[in-house]
Amino acid sequence: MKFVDVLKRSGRNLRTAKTRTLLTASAIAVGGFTLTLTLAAATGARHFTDRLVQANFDPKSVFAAKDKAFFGNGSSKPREYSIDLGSANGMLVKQFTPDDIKKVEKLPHVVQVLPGYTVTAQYITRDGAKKYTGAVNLFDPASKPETKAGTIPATLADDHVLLPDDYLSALNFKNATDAIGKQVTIQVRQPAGKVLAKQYTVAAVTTKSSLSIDFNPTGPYVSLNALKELNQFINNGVVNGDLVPTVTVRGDGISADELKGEIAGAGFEARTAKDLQSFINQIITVLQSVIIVFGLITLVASFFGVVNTQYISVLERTREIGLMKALGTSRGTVSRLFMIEATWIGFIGAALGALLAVGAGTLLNPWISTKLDFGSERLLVFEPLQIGALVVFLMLITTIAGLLPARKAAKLDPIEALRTE
Amino acid sequence: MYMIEVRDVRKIYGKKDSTFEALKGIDLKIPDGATVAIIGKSGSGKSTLMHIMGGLDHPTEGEVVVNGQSIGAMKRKQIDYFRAHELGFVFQSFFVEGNQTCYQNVALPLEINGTSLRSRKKLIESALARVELQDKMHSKARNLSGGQKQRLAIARAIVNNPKLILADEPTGNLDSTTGEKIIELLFGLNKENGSTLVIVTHDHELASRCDMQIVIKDGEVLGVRNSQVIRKAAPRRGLRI
Repeated sequence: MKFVDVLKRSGRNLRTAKTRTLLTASAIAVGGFTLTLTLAAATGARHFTDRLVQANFDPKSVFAAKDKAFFGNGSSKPREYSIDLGSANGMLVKQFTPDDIKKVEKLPHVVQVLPGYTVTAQYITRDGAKKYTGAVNLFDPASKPETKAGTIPATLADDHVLLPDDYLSALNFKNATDAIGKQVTIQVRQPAGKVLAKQYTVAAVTTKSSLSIDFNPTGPYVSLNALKELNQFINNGVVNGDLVPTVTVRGDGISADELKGEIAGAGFEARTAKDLQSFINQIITVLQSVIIVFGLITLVASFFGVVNTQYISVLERTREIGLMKALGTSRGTVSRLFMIEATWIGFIGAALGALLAVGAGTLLNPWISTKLDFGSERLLVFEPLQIGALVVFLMLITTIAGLLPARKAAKLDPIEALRTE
Repeated sequence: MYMIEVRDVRKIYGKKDSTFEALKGIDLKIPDGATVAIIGKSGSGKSTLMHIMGGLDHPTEGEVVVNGQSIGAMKRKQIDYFRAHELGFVFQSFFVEGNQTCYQNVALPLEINGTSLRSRKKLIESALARVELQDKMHSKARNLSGGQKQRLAIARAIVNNPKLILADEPTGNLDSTTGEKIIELLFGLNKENGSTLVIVTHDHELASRCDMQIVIKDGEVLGVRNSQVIRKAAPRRGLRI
């Protein structure tokens, strides 16, 4: 029998048992649906982290810590005392001393070291406005925040500030443009109570894009020198007040990975943007695997569904098989006929599941993006190639499921089969 | 020239203690182009004999030569080929596929023997025309009457221009008038195409119209009678009845 005839005949057999075919196929469709959505979510999440990392991290920079434990999970064992221990992220870790920072600055390819100061303002205010709390953050020239008004200067003057748009109405500005060139006051306080109030001119009003991750607490951005001044004032006389847990190191004429090696050579730990990305992606992979396992479990159930359906089909069509064999159909052809039928079921199920998933995903995407604050980003990204591969995979699964019933059909004795009335 | 030669064929069912000898040494020669009736009561072994002639069943002993080829010596693929190209089957219960159209039913043997898609249409149409079902070509087979179904089965049996047609009680499920028409049709085809027709039946009237009658009882040939009108020389064997 020609393959095209086998294809047509098996398709026709499925059409005669429409309900059964659809029911069996819908079991496959559940698996197909789950797997399509899982793949789409994982693809979308990976795209998102890619763009996130691209948008937030300077590819020439690395993030360095003095203590390996900073990037690890910490340890509950008591640590040996060292003069440079300080707390960061709720852990006790070794921190960079000013000498350490100088050491990093002297590395051959390092062009800039930004210490990760954490300065909390006593309050931020301006004339005629109430006082608000906030952090004072370091402006990294490599980061390019979106602005609502004003322009980000190449180097931020030490008496200028970048103001997040959250502060606009709090500080009684009419709008973003209104704030440009106006003065704001940041006051810091020493543990002993002595205060320092500094005036800054607003250079630009920044806004958060959907892709930006702000590792810093809310607050205005100032230059390195300005932040150093505030930090020194607050920690004046405090033991280890000049320690910082992390620094951002920018290199030149060197890849991030090579820079990481250079820093490691000086005895510090560094992470590149790629490391961070792969860490996030690892989490995505783990989550994806969990859902895929569930999808595969539903497939196991539908696998037996197909086996069962095909067995029933063979029993129902014993006479037909007998006739076909009596008329000279080879065992191989009979077997192929039932296998292809199972393949068809797989195709229908997989196509149905994938179609529903794409439909549901496309409808839900805007809603998910709003809920997750993704902006214009989409969580579910459907890749035709991926879906195609999934459909082929499901067809393969059902074909394997059709193997046993097909063998039974092929082995039927035509005389016995034709005796059944 | 003989279409079928059956040489000392025995068929034993079962094993060891509980054996049943369905055929006890059958010897037959069926000439090319003849119409042959195999007559016997149920359980006489006539169906088994027909199955062996069609390569559906294997004899325990003996040899069956069809169209010059020994079926026992053929591989499974060769037997499939033989059935697909040179054999037509007609059954008592028609075995037409109710959900399929007449056209699709008749197409089956052509699909099986791999006839090219282009030549199929003509063959199917002429087979259906021969049994006068051309106007039912695209009706579902389940909507046909019993006689029409058997005519459809005959169209299916002749569509591949077989040299040998084996009919198992072709009129068994039909009333006498309809049965008569089916018989006319089968004999007409035999005359036109020169194919050999073997009918298993217990209808003596039908049998009497065949060139040759073989009576089987308890797995043995009770007698062979050759009628006057045999176009080719037929052997005379066994008892006359």
